[in-house]
Amino acid sequence: MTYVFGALAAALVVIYMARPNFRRAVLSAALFFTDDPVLGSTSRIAWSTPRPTALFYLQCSVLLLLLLAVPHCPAAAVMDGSIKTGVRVLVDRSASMSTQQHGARRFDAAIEALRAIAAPQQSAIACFTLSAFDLELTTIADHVTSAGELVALVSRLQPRPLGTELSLVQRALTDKAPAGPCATGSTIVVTDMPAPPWMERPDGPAARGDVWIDVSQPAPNAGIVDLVDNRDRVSGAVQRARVVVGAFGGMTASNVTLSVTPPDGAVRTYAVPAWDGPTGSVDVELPQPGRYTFRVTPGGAYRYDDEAAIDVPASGPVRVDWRVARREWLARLGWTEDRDNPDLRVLPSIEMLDSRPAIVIGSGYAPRTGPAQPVTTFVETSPLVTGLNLDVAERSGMKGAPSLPPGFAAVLSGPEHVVWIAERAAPAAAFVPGLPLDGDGSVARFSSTVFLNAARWILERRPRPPLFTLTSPDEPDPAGSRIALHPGEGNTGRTPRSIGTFDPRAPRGHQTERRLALWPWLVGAAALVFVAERGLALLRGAE
Amino acid sequence: MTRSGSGATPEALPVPSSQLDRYRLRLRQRDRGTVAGAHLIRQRGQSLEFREFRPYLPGDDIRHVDWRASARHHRRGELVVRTFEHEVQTRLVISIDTRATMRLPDVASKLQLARWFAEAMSYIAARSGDSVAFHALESGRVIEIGSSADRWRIRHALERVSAQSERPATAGAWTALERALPPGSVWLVLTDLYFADEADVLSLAARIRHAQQGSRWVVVVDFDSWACETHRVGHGLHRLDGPGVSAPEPRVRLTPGLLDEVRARIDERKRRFDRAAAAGGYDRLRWTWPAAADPAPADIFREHFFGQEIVRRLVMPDGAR
Repeated sequence: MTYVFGALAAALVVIYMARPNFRRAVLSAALFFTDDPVLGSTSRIAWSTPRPTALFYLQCSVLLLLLLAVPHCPAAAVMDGSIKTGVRVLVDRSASMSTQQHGARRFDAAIEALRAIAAPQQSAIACFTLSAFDLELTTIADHVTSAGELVALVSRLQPRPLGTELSLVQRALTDKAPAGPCATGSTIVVTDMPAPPWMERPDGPAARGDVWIDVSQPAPNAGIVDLVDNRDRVSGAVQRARVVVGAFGGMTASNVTLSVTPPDGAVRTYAVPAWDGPTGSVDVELPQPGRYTFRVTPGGAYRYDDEAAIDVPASGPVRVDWRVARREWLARLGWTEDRDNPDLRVLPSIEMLDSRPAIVIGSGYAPRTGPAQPVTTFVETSPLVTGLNLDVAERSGMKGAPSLPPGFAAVLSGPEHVVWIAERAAPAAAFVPGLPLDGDGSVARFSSTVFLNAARWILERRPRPPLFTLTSPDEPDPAGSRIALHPGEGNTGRTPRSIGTFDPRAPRGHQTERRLALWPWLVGAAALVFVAERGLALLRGAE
Repeated sequence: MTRSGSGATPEALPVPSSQLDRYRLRLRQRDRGTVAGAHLIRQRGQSLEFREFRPYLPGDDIRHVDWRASARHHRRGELVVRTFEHEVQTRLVISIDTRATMRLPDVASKLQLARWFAEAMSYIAARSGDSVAFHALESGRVIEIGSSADRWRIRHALERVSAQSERPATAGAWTALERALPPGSVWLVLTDLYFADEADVLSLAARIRHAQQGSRWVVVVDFDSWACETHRVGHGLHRLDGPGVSAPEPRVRLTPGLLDEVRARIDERKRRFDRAAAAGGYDRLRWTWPAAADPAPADIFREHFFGQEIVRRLVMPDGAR
């Protein structure tokens, strides 16, 4: 728009300076006109000092109105070639950017895309800010002066075996551009992920001129999608693992096999039998502790999901700080006494609670044959009441809990707000009426169920050593059971989806809204004055 | 179009020979007293053609007495003598102005009309037995036609005369004209009188005045295309171009007032020319172009050659007296 105003102003100056168009006339008696006053020189442009006529003042008014309109014009600064804009470039360097497509890495395609989009607009760009993202957003350079330098910087980057955290990109596009030497006008995101829906919201980044470039193309790939361990809920012992395998981008799933190398080195190969959509799974028994390595064949275009390793820890007995009577239950349950580093504490009173997981044992049961104690409320979804027979509960003769400290919530209670079973989420703790009773009666089974529900609920919440860890920005390279099995990185079959056309001169949406008010009026006024001036000029010319 | 104007249109005279054959050169009777042979081409005396009866005077050839007529003449027995006249060859010199101003306007150039006029006059004169010569006013070149009525030869001579001159006339060139222009001859000057230099105008006027002293009759035919050219140009802002205009071209607003003013200036120059040229045997005749954008040259020619004074004063239908 600035160019338009500039052209209008220049045209006005030329009109003012231009002399009328003298038509050429050939007369045999032309020589008899040579004594007449000459009305003008042969030049169409008058360079003489302007005469302060009414027309001159009108033309000055038009120029002034146009000049006033320029700073109010939307995106005047962006469109003005002399006021160049800064461009922020966010380049995806996650593991999936190492995917091979058409004989080259996606990262190479990103470099070419960046070169193609930035170089032609170099004249309108003051500088670039370069950042790379995967699981973290890192500023590479904050003042790159040329497209060539930008491409060179990106070429020196490499994909890292990390996942893609698009929320970082969303925040970068949504938040105000960080202050720096290169004032940002628009942002280019170059990635192999399809443009997310939030890009296209009415007030989203695309509406403000930001561009999302998805360089991905579907490529056949098979790999491990997930590893799910199966552990004993009380002891935590790893019994088996489910290896989830995926096939993407046209890879034939029936040809995919999984090889498992257990600690003893005896490799076993499994066909992947149960495909559910793009994924199938194999349940692998893990009979012994140690490292198990899984490998998918054929691997395909993306290599970081072809192999994964887990470390199965050796399982041991549950360590318990048993502070109540009837210690024979330790042996019955296969638990061991450990007061220093227990997995669970079994306490006789509420006052002994601390921040460690614990079960507080109440006053016990007194089965009765008389009137039952009606259960008034219970939390059906609580694991502490799983499998309980409430009819038995009403005849079990449970004693109510004493005053419970803050954080406990009643799970099973009776009349007059008496609490029989309660739980505390953090630190994990439970109040139960008593230890399991001996015998095979219904109340004994009820008491055992209540105690074991509480023990399992607490023990399964204790932290367990993972079978594997994922690579992280601090430790980005896979090693042993540190694997690059980040979600979605191996999905090479997505349909690419780019959004936006890069135009650093395009107005930004919020500027349009803010500056739409004044400049049209100024331009309109200039147009009216111009028409009046031209009309007067015509009238005077006709005299 | 160039600054010096276009060349002459090579069109043939739009009048057939059969029409011109009906005319002969007519030179006016002038009361020149005893100046025999002035531009009177008919002299009394021994000739082949009867002219009139008159009373016998002493010294008259007795053989010329018409006895029958004398017998019918009853006035005191006077004798009546028969007088005769004989044809004397008339010299006609046609000077053609070939300057660039004559090559305008494009649609009907003055030079084209002048050539047609010269062709018609020379054909009629030659058919009458008179002698004709062409003279280029700009270069001074003289081409003799003699009494040839061959229209191809006439036209060819006109082309040579009206060719663009590369050098101005010299004093020697005027000498050649004087030799070709004996006393008693008729000199037709075909020009528009648009000379850039006033001195050139006065020089031509002086030549014409001098020619009249030799009992020559000088007729200046003034080709005036002003009305046509100004009509075509119209009014408004113009860069004027044309012969004699040097760069930069004058930039003027053509208005009726300005055109009238310039026209008056041209007329005043022509009046000064007349005053300088007239010495008893001088006439200036005007051929005017109509105020039309695209006039037909043939129509202009026919209108003036057959319908205007020029015809009546220079040529007449054969048999008329």
